[in-house]
Amino acid sequence: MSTLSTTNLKNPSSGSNNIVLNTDGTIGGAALAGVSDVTGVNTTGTVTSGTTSLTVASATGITAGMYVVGEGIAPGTTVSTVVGTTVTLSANAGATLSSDPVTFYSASKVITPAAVGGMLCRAWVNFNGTGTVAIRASYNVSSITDNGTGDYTVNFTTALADANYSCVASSGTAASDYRIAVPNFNAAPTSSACRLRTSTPAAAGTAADDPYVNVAIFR
Amino acid sequence: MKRIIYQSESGGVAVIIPTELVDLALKDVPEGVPYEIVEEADIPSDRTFRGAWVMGDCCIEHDLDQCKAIAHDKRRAARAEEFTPHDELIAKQIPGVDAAAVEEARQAIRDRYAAVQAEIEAAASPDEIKAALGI
Repeated sequence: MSTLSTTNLKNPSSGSNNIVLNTDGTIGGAALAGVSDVTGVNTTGTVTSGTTSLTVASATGITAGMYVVGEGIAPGTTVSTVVGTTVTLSANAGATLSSDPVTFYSASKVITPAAVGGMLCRAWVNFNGTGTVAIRASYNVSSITDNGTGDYTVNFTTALADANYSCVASSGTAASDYRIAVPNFNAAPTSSACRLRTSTPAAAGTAADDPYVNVAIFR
Repeated sequence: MKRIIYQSESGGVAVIIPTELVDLALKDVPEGVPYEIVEEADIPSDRTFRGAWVMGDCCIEHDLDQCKAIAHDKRRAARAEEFTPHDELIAKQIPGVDAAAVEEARQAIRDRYAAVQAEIEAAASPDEIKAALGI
């Protein structure tokens, strides 16, 4: 096997799309993400729900256009402006933060969580469908609706572009029988919600409540 | 935690469980449908007769007739499960099987579940229906 020894790869038609091979063996260059890009700029922030003015503990490394990730901040929210420690968001915060963690990611670097993750899972939720129905954890989910036995609707905080998403669901129980969870297409999915049904195939598909129900939305 | 309840299209009760703030989940109530915000503790944790929940004057109540309908479904399912091994013996006509004994066992099942049926019909509360079902 032969080895190509070079420090720079470039498309002849491009003046800027270089891939730089660093001396330590890592890949650098303007277009590709370094470790700091993937890690993001981590700080804490304070914002009132329904507003765009986020006050951060430190604005070092935060620039306009960066993606913002934090509790209650809708996917795809970016930095509009940075003045001192005041960061203006492109969309209202969905929750009030008080010195809570927020992270800022480059919008231009390849393979940053913002560039890749933002195009994958748009919403997910893990909830207990038995007894007192309760949400364990979620992302971009404002609520779930308990419509009846084994019949739930997942409601999105920020609506998707359309209803042509992939809804993946699973459910489980400590009991010895198998369970299934599927989108309920008797109620057509919308850009703001997806209804699903959990049931037990051992009893001819009878609707059943399960302690572990998981739903993920991809688009 | 708060919950939002409203009457569903089918006449039952839909319960909205907010992720965080109840105000942010109000958008998830169907447009134009009246709703109430209640405490989590106001929602029954026993979901045996979930399909029989109805909106009461102050809280969620059980429709007794619907509870009985659900109970009869459970009774029939349980009876069918107990019948299955006996039915198979009759259907397969296996030589040496005492058909009379099998039929006697089937009759015992019928008698037992007939008594359960009567208990369900006589029940005056969801708890009494559960007792009739043995759950």
